[in-house]
Amino acid sequence: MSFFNVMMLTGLAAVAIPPIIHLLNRRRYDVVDWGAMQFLQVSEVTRRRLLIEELLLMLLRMGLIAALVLAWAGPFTDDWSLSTGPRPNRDVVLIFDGSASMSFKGTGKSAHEQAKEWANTFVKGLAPGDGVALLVARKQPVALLGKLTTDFERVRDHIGKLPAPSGSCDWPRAVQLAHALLDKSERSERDIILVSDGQRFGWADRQTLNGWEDLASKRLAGEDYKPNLWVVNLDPHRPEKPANWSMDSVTASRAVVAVNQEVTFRTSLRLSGQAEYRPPYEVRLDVDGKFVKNLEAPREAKLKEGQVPLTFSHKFSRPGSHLVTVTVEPDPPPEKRGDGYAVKDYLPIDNHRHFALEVVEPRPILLVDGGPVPVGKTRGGHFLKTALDPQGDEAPVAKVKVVAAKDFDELSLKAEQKEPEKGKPNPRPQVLILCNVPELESTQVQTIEQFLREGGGVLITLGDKVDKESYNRLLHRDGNGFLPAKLDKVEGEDGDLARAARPLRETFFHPALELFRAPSITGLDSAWFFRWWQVTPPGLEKAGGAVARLSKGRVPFLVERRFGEGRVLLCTVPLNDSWRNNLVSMQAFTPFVHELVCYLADLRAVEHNLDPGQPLRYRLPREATQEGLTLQGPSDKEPKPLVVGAEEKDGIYAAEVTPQGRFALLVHKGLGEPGVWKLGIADGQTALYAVQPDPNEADLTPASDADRETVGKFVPFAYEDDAGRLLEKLSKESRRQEFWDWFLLGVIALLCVEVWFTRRIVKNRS
Amino acid sequence: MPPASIHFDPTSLSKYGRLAMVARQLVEGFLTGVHKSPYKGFSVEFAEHRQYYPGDEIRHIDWRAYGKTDRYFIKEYEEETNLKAYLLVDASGSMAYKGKTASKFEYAQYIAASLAYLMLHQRDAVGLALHDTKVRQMIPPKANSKHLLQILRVLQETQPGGETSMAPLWDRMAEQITRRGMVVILSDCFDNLRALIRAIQHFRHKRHEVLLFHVLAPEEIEFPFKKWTQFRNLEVAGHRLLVDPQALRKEYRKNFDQFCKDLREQAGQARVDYYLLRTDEPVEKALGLYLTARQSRMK
Repeated sequence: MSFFNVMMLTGLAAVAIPPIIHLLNRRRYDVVDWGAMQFLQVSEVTRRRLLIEELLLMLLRMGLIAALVLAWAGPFTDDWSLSTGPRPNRDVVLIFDGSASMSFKGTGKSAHEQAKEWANTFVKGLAPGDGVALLVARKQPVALLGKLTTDFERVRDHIGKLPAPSGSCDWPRAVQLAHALLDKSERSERDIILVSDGQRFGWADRQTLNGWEDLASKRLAGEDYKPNLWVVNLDPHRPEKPANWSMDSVTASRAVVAVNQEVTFRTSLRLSGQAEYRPPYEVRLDVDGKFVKNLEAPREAKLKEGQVPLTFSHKFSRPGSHLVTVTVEPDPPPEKRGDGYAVKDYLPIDNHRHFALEVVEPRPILLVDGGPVPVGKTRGGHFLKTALDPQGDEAPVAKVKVVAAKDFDELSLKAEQKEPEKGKPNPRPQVLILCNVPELESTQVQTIEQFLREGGGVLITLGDKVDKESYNRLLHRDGNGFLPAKLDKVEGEDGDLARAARPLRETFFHPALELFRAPSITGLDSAWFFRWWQVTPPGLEKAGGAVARLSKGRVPFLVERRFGEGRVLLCTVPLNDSWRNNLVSMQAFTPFVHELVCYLADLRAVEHNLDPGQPLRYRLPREATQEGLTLQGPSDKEPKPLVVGAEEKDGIYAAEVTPQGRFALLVHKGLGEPGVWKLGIADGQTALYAVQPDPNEADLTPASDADRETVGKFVPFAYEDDAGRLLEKLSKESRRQEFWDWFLLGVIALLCVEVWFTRRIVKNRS
Repeated sequence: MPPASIHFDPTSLSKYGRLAMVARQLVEGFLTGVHKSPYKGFSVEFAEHRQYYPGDEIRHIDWRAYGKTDRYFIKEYEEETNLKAYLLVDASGSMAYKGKTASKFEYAQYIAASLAYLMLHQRDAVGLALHDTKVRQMIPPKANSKHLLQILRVLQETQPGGETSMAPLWDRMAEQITRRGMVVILSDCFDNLRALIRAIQHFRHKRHEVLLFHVLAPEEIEFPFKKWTQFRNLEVAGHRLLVDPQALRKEYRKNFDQFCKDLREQAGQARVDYYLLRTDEPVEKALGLYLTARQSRMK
């Protein structure tokens, strides 16, 4: 016999109440000095009768309390031989494995198709009144039928609409959601059935085991009644290492791409279940859903951790949001396969990868060079100019105009330039770079401040020519100027490389340094500087502060502050060769400068390639309307309205907006489904987001008995590899019988006996 | 011969406080208009003179003394009576029980004092024996007025205590009291009933008239206790019983009622006047009922 509310059994301690009251009564008595003692000496028969009466009454009362507590605890047994009536109704939550591996086809049907058939058969076997809910386990669980219903027609309808497998799944979260659904159930018999393909990844990998442990500590330990947990494996005969090809995540050489600029993309072919690499049938490149070209896959390659690198380039001819899709077809179409052809891929769903990126028009930048005039080739701002707007490059990221410090004036930052280009006025610069400028005049400072107030971005790079006194007096002004930090002194000395300062990668939390967080031999953290400026950034109470640091004493590397509507970044090391350093000759220099400039120009505002569950973000101009927004997920047949401040429900996506300077940051939480998400903006533009599936999902290795045992330490699942046998088990009419009503009847009976017995005793004694 | 009467000096009586006052009040109130002594003396012997008080009968003035002293004196006589009354008051520990009313011993004190007053008022000789298992105070019967004061003093000074085992004592007393008289017993009779009745029969065998005042507290009769109670024996130190009174009530009352019934019946069979006195009843009412009944019987 078991109990639904085991904790209620602690109430059995209450059976001690009658004896305690009896003992307390014996302890709290009146004292009477008495003469007629001889009449208190009752006979032995009477004494025994009284004792028996008291004892019986106490036992009755103890039994009454015990029966009440037991009834409350909800006793039940799985021994149906004790059954006296029909099977009680049950509530069931079916959780379908929604991961890509469910589409694995061996020689027959995929596990996904089998899951639908099995679920329909199971629903047919349910008794009227049974409740069913449907969940799909994905990285974020999807409530296909989020409330328990007894309408089986509706259940079957939803099973028919089971979304196609995609991405990976988070089983512990799905099971937790199922528990939450069953918490509302009043039924004694509750089942959670996990319909899966028995894949190890997502079930017994390290991260999922942490999830199971967390679930066990949070929920299962505290539950009075635990539902039955079944796992049915619909693909029990899947090979140990089935052959599979998949495409790995795509990365781009540039975070922000200019029109007509060539971008290099890197990815790799992932092979599992195969000892050696044989070239695929084809690798296709699509941009914005249109075929572009077939990529050249290596004819020969050595598998390194099951991967073969693949690199390709592309130029985008128009600005806007673009989607790059790489698809590998390992096997030729069936009609082209010869006899005895060994299939290389049984899981086609993971053969493609999306990558979303923004292509922008080149941005005007004004570079004020502190070097000699005219600007020398190897001095001053030449390095920055080359990184941003190389000579001969038809599609630079920026259009850079270089002026000497003495020529910089108010007109330099106006849209109307002195020398019109092709008859049209040059656009107003969006970013101003002060490169090792010795000092500025007051009027120049005022011009920059006005530029910042209007939302411009300023990058200040320090060097050997900088006049500390002038900077602090005019630009910093004890924190009232736009200079983000007060200049203290030049630190470091030429000599031993070991004494040089290096950027600290672990301090790269700024959005402009996102590209450099990953460890890399040619990364930004490999740069070294023999000299640098030591500065004092403002305290925490001031806007801005150090956003990256150097290894020597963790002194600031980059310091940022807001000024008006604009932003200023101060770089404490030279971005030229004014002091000895290796940054300007590194591969990381160009993307570093690009990132800084794009950040200041508000070009690179949001990430377009997301992990499942990451929020979608988009920066709208503050004055832009928030109406007419739409969002279309990978499974959506058409765009759905994205409503700010609304509650998410069928047919509507919800979003929140947070003011952020000149922009309003639009955030939508819950991009759980891997694939392409399309954000429709009011003026007809579309921003594309690619939610990346977990590449480990391509590993189709089934969970072993040892894996099941490990999971069983946290959550007591009952595994069934024979789907038919589980149906038989579940459809048995004799699994659980409740007893609480018996105990309740016992309570009533004992109560009647107690009342009768008490009255009888009182009557006898009176 | 007119019935003699004893005059008690109020000043002397006042020394005995409430007991004396109550006794006097009870008896004199009862005697007003209805009194006629059932016991008449046949010889009168001069005892002493006392000062005349208005209201004294003129015929009792000693004119000879008046002639000598020029002051009125009343001649007082000690009446020889044929009645000697013995008041046997139980002073055992059980008589100390005190519920919501006076203790049984206090009640017995009032009754004994009143009877002493009454009998002495009627010139009968009254003696007193206070006892538990043995006689604690014994005053031989006398009929003069000062004797009352002695009885009252002894009654007042005695505190109940000790065990009850009256039957052997009464047996001895029945042997010692040779002259026929009246034996008035004031007791709760919590003793072996058979021995008790045998002792009473012994008194009767000696041709004494026996009055048995069975003094009981209402709590002893009704046993009204509800909560668990520890009953501490008033007669045996250290003897105590912790019981649930509700569980015992029926058995107790059955035992108690049977005891009272047996005592009453066996007293009746021994031609003993049995009177049950409840301490929650007014003393004058209980005494009045007894005297009225006795008076009517004497007629």
